[in-house]
Amino acid sequence: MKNFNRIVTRELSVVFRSQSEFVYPLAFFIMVTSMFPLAVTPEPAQLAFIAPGVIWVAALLSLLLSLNAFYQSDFQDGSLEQMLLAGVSGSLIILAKAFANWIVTGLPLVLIAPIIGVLLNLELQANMIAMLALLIGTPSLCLIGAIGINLTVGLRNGGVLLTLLVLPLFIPILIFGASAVEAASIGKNYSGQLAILAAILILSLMLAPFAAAAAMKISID
Amino acid sequence: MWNWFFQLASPKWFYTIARKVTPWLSVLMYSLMLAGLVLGLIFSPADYQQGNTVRIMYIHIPAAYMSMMIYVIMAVAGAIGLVWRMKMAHIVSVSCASIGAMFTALALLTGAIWGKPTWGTYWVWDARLTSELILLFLYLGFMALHSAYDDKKAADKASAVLALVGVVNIPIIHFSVEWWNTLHQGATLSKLEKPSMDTSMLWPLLIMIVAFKLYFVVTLFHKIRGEILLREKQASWVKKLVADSKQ
Amino acid sequence: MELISSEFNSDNLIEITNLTVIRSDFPVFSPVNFSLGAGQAMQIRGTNGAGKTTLLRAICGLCHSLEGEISWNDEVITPAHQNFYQSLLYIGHALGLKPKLTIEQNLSFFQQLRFELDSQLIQEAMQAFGIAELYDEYVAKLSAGQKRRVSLCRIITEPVPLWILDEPLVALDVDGQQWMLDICNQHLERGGILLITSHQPINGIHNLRELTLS
Repeated sequence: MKNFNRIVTRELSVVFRSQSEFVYPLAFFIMVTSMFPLAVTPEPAQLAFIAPGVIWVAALLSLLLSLNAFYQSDFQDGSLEQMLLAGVSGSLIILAKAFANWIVTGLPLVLIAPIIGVLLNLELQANMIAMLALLIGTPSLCLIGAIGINLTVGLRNGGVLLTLLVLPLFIPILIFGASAVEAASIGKNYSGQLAILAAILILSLMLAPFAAAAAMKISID
Repeated sequence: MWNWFFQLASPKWFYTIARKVTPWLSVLMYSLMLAGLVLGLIFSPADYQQGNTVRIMYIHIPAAYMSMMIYVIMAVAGAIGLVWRMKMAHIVSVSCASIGAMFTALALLTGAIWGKPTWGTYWVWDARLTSELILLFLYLGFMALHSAYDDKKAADKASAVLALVGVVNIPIIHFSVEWWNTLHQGATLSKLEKPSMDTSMLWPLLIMIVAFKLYFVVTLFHKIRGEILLREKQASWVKKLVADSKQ
Repeated sequence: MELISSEFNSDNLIEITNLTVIRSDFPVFSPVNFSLGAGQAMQIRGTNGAGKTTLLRAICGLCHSLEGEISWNDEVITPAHQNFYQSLLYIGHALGLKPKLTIEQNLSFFQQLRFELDSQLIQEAMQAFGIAELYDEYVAKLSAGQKRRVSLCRIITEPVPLWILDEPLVALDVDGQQWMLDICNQHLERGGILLITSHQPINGIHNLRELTLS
């Protein structure tokens, strides 16, 4: 547990030194979502209709973008292997890094989502649910993403491959996340979707660190 | 008791056995496939709603069935390779991928062809077709990852981890897509559903399923033999084999 | 100057039996056998590409496709071998330093993973390597030689018996190299074990054995 805190603190101090890591995905999120009114229609009712999907797809992609910055440098500068050699277990390293990843990328998305919701004409209730769904869903994205990035981090053209590997695994979260927002916007019950998102989070917490740690050791070899 | 398990782990043993068994399996496979096709295309009745279009089912359903099964086999073989560090298991796992992807593509293609007369369009975001499409992505991801690594051993391990992650996810993806489908389209499009199938249609279907399984085994053996020769090219028995075949 | 204060267990023993690493079906080097007890040192030699780095990484457990056996104090090493990883310090080509953190942050992070924080020891180590005045400097601003010195500070801030150093003298100036050799000798006198690679011949480490990879 102590080592968990230390790794998280170290990750956060690296990020806050340069800030680009946590500004870029956020800027990406805002810009992509603001492309949709331009591309589809500025008509309020239609915007509200596509808003849940737009918010979730953009969140998915900006988290995907953040992964590389979070794992690549640690892999290349030898920090990962030094942590392993200090006897820290691989899954603890992954858990700590995924947590830091979420604090830096996921949490800002959750906080900025209501503003995007207003821009896309989402009403208050649906907007709050969008925030809640992102709050439960984005940590799973960070954990599943950790598997993908650790499989590809040692490869030369890992970036596109990462997308190919990880996006299919994101689909359930996308479906239930967007559906929760949609249900809320038409006044239906959304608790089922949120419960499933929570179940996926628990499952990811239990399994993803081990898979990602195995992937990390293969990449380091 | 464990003897056969370790024999299975020897590429040379597997190669010789596969070479002996393949012709027999091929004969069996071709006769079953012929029987299934003749029964299905000629002797089975046309559907009272869909007419003769329903006959594509004899390809579509077995292909869809195989596409899921092969992914599971691929993942289990990968897991055995990871846990027991068994070379043969990785070879099996890797050889499964392209065959599985082929069956998935076949299921998608026949599904689309079936969809045109039934739904009036080639593609509908039907739960099964969508699941098949995602499965195809998973297969492509596996193959892309395996080819991206320079070192074969690292490639084997990395893709085995991916297959395991995929196999845990497939039921979740499947469930979420089913759920999403009923939410958006209702149950109106589940025309592929055949709750009560006439025995004259069931038999050819069952025969085709078995024939497709045999086809998988035969192709898998071919692929495995190729992969063994490629990987064991330093081994003396492979060199001898190549020298003998040249004469 | 005495830097290493702790005495190490005189029973410590690392044994390498028939070790080789397989890359693309070929062994990188012919099987290696040796053992090092307390106070013993060995230099791994070999041409470029002979597998010196690979051998060191294999001993650290960072290579997976290896054949043969590594044991520490008569126990075969597995990935979960806490005892071994508590006793090991590996410094390779990738130094594990974060450019965006200060020297002190980098060193104390690694120290705290295994030991209690000891700021004074970190200060002393930096003093010894001549980088004390850079205490609050970000690693990004350092030269290659200074970065190397920072990573080598860890041999003092993390007192462990088994040092595995891959080309530690690279990028160090003449004074730096001399310090390094002195410290290695102190380490050996205290019962430490040293495994080192270097392109140039190392003069000055007592009883240094040599192993040439082929």
